[in-house]
Amino acid sequence: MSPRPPKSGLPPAPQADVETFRALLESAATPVLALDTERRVLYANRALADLLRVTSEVLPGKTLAELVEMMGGALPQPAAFTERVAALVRKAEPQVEVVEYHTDRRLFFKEISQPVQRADGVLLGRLFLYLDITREKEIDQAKTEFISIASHELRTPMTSIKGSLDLLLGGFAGELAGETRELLVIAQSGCERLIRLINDILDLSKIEAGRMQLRLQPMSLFDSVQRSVRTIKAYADGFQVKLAIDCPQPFPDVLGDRDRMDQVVTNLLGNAVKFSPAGETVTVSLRQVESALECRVIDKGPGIPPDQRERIFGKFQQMEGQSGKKGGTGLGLAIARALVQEHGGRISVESEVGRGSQFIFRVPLPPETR
Amino acid sequence: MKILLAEDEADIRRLATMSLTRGGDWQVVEAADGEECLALAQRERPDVILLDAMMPRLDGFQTCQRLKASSATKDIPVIFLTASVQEWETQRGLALGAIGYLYKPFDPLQLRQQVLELLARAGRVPSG
Repeated sequence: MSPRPPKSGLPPAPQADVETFRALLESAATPVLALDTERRVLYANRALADLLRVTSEVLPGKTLAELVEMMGGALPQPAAFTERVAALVRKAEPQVEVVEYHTDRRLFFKEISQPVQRADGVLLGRLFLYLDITREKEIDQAKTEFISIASHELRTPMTSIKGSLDLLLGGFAGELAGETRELLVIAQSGCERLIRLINDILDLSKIEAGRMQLRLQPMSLFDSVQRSVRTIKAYADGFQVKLAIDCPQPFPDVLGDRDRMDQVVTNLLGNAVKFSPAGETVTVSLRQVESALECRVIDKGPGIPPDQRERIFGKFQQMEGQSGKKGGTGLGLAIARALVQEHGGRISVESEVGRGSQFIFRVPLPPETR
Repeated sequence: MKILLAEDEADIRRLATMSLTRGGDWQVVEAADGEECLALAQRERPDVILLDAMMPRLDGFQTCQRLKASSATKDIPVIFLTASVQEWETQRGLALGAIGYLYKPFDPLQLRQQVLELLARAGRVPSG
């Protein structure tokens, strides 16, 4: 055992009393609220009272319903807020939510809540901290708008460039000599890549802003797989990669947006083809797993090392050592994940380095068909 | 077939005209903004109007609204040509009486066919 460090000559740290604790919380600029397990206000600091435009003395003892009443019309959905908070006071898990609050302007708070326990384990209630994230929300909104406008403005010149190239290559101005044609094809392919990138950025910004409106209707995931295989066929031919569908039986319809579901499968297929060696096959398999339909896109590519498996679903992420070489936008998997989540589903990857990868997504089946 | 094309970008106008007249027999009348489009629609009586959504002064939506409000032009099918892919914009155009949308960047080799398909889908048989 190592010897104890010598005691310092400093006096012992002061023990804070109740008043000191109260003063500490009162001086915090962040609104703080504590509710007991009967949903009454145990404590509310000055910042919270200021937000509610009352004095902090009136708050202790008020019920949650009275508290919400005091907020007037500031909460966009008071009933939902009350119900959610009421359910939280007896929960043991911490939770984070975003709360909208309208005063003379629209405010956003990140609500961080945790159970409050005495040293002997008795649950006293729950502590809520409200961090003002209005500025972050505004910046995020401005970013989304900028992307939307920029993508729109980029489309017009892209129309001129791509249209001119298409017309030339379509023989509009007469027969083209070998190298002239080759150079125009290079320009055309660069143009198409740029358009895909603009579309992808726009899609992702829409999803992130919560503006992606899915047109949900009963649809066959098998049909979606078939359409996507047809879409990607020519691309796969270019890589000399074969495509196969493994679907042993008919499955019930899922509730989905046809075009967006096709986009998910096409993105996953395109990715699998891109990383497959020539001569190999990419297989799409469909199975019913519990109360969901599961689609697996299976490739025999290089596989993904464990440390990169989560990262590849991020924006502008491509496998290390592959960046740029494969001609993708680096947004395909991010969009696939976001779209699957918008459908209430989940996406994941299983992979073995040197053997290949399987991208798996599940979409819930409507309750009556499970 | 006579097409009235309203588009404020001269390059796109030229490109769309080349694409539409490719193969002969189609005539394109060009308007550089909404006001000009309204005047030409009255005078030229086109078979179909291709309307850019975003134009200065009178935009495509306002132009479409006025076309549909006039007895002389209300029956001419309108197709929007737009660089936007916002769902609300499509809905707005259709609500104003447009028969469909074509999106930029358009494929110049397909443009004629796409116009014909939209007309057919709307039950408007093109006159030659």
